[in-house]
Amino acid sequence: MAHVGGNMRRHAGKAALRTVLLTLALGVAAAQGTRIPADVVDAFHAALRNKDTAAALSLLDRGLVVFEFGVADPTAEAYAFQHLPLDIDVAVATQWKLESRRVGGEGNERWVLSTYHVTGKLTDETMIDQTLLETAILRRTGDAFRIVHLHWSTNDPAFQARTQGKGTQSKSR
Amino acid sequence: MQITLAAAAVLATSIASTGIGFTDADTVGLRSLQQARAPAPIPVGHDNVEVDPALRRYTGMVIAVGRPDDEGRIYSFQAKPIGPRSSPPASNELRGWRLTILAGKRFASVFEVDGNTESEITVVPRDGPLNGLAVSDVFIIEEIAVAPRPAQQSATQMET
Repeated sequence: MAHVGGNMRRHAGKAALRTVLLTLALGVAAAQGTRIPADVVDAFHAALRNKDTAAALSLLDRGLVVFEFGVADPTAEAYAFQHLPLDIDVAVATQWKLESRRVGGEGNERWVLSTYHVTGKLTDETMIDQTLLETAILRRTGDAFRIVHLHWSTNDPAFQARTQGKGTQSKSR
Repeated sequence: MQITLAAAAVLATSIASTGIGFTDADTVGLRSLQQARAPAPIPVGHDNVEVDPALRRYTGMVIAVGRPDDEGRIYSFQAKPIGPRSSPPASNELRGWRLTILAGKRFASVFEVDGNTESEITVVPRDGPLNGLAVSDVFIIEEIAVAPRPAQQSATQMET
């Protein structure tokens, strides 16, 4: 019986050690921010929907450049001040369904290409029903990937014209 | 409240005066991105797309940092409004709203507004001091409660 008890103690000890090591590994992974690039993109959109300005900013590299419907935000600060609030408004007013995604790159530079089916309604009751194309380039600095470039465009020429102030009404569907 | 073209124009003009704006040439090539801080009228981009604002906002620029307390901690600053809401806020109108710094060393740092006058913003000490905030930094204050956060680490993480 003493021998059996010793085996049980050894097994229990190994199990406890495995638990400790697993916990440590998970803890290290969490501390390192092992979010994959596609998750960073999804987290950014979630932050916009949740009206969480700081969370959205925390996912952006300070070298960020945004190309959005034909105009550029050349710095993270410019995007944060000029367009992030409007992107939050749009995210809250619309529904985005991920339709396709490709990822690539290697090392500290990755890309995530996504298309979304975006639906919703503008203030003037104009319906939004379009495919939005998104290119996201991410850079790993330290332990986390952050978005260093975003490029959005749409398959709706009327909407595109409207974003550029050309007075064209987006098509209603 | 709706974001109107007129408001967008005011925003564009205000931003240009802060140096955040960029020239029309910036929209057509990467070459001019290095000159992004040139004070000039900016294109309004998708500002022309009007959607209902998700929340009330006040945007401004720091014009003076507050006096530090005995331990060197700063919890207030003087500000001037810029952007769509170009008028100074009523006294304590912003109390309880969420302040997010949008530029400088405290980029992405979040505080809760404890109180305000027309020109001064004071934050709740719970979120830590404002030290590192500088004149010309821009910020946004939104009518939404500050969510609990583990630490104000994002600003230092993102400094490059």
